[in-house]
Amino acid sequence: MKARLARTLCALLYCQAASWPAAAQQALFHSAVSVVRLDVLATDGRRPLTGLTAADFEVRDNGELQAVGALFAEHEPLDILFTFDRSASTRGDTIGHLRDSARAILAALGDDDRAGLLVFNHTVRLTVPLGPAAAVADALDGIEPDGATALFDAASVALNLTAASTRRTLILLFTDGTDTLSWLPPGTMLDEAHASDAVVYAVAMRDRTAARDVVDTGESQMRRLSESTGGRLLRADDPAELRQRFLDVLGEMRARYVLSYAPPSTAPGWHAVTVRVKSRSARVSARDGYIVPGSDVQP
Amino acid sequence: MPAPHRVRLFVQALLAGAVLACALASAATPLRAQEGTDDYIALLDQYQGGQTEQAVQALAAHETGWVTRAVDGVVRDARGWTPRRARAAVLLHTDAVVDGWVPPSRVSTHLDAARRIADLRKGTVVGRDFRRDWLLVVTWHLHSEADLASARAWVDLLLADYPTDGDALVTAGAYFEAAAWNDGRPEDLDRAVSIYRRTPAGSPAIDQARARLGRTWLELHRPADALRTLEPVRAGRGDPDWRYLAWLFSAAADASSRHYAAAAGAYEQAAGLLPSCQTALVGLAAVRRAEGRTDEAAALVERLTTMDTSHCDDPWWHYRFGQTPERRARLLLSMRALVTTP
Repeated sequence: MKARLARTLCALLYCQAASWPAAAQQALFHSAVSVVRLDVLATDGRRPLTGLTAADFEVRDNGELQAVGALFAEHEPLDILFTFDRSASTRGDTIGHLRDSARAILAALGDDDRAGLLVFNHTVRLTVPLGPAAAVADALDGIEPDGATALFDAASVALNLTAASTRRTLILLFTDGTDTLSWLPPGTMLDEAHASDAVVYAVAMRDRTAARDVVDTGESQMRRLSESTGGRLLRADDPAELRQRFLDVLGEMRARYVLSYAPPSTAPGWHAVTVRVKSRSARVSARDGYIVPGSDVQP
Repeated sequence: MPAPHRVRLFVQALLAGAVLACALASAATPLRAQEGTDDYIALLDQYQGGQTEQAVQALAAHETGWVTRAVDGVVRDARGWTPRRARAAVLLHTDAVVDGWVPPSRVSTHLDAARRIADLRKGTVVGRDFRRDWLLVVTWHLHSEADLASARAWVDLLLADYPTDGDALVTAGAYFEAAAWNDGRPEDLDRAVSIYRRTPAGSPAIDQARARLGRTWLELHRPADALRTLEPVRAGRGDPDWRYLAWLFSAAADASSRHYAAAAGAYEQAAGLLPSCQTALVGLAAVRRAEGRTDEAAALVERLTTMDTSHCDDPWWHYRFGQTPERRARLLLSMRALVTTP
């Protein structure tokens, strides 16, 4: 009886999802999960694959095959939350190239796209809330490098700021160093990433003053964060490379698919998700699962 | 001349040569050392006369070799030094390091020089309390610079010479906590635990010891022990900075056990103590999100990312780096007052 009810619910939700205009959907990870949305990049190893349909994808939720709707997201409105490290080490060339790189992305946005600017050092400040891109362009010159780096706190704040969005969301996280002052441990940041629809792309510039193992640990944490959302980590060895990295990120966001399905269970906890392209050999980047938030445990 | 006599003369000549060479050498060395020593003594006079910054800058301008020779000279001739004189010499070198007048390559030269003077007659010249304060200042400085490798020797000195002193114990414990932070070695956390637990209950450092021990228990995945240890700090009327941190650590302990209501309450207490700081609100938003209260989490982050933080000096920012720069500056100031006041 229970299983039949679930299947009925699932079928109802799938009908809704299959004809789904992505932007009109409710945000997914509120107190209950009704539809799971996956922002997916499929490539042949180098270039994005275009022209795929729902029938090309196989999605499993906790091992269970799902009926999915698919949408090529090239023209879907996009929200970009620039999340920029403004710690003291970004003084000089780095901050200048960072501003130019952000402007390059803003110039490539469409009328329906929105942008916001979150800057952080050991504090986090929402300089421009998500809205018209022009406001971000105006605010970029006001970024003053100073202080230390609370990277995990900033990533967590960015994920929370975008959690209620019903639109496709990119968190473009830039840092030139490793975390030195966050309150939240990296595990909490990852939990929040797993409870978010946003895709995180991290662009990391190597901190040449830090020890190699510290840099490796920092990059590994950024890689885990971005890949857990279906994004990835891009490295820049020089500030002059930032512009191209940023444009690469935007290019990938325009070449992704949005898959949706009604989850088989809304039980609190971790739901592992696998996505593959059935019809041909392809590399797929999608989040590896999601967390349905749980309730308090009484002491 | 019989052979044995020739040998005796030859040996006598050799001995005479050696004695002459020694005499010449010993006459020349004090001469060179004396020149440096006189200048060094002049710097000490300047320092004791209240021109501390000028004296420190002049000292810092000298090469390593000059410093070493001058200190060799004064250490040999320090029998008549008063405690005030010896303390001034210790502080002269210490200020050069702590105030950043010497490059990193010369830090050890000045700290070694200060230590030789502080250890004169087994530390009895500068006095036990002064020597303890000086060791604290040096260790706090190296820790704040994240130079944990250099700090280790000074931590060992503190533990060996002041094994029951509260400030020495929290300084050493904070060092091992930071070492574990950097290298992830659980044995450093165990060491920190055993050091913090030795802090006497009546010590002025007891709140700090308990707060740090609470956080260390949390790092060792023992949230119940953390909460039990932090309780007297939260409930007490001690330093508000440590009370704030105790609430933060309690919140983290509760959150790690998924006791979200308790965690939220603890974060709210911390936010109430320092309302212009973001840390507690960042933690509270994470708790709300973990509970599935997404809208509340979003409202919290909107609030914290737009609030005025210009008046916040969050104790959490300093925690990892040992003691606050203000505390070090205060201690140094009081030590300088001892030597520059006639």
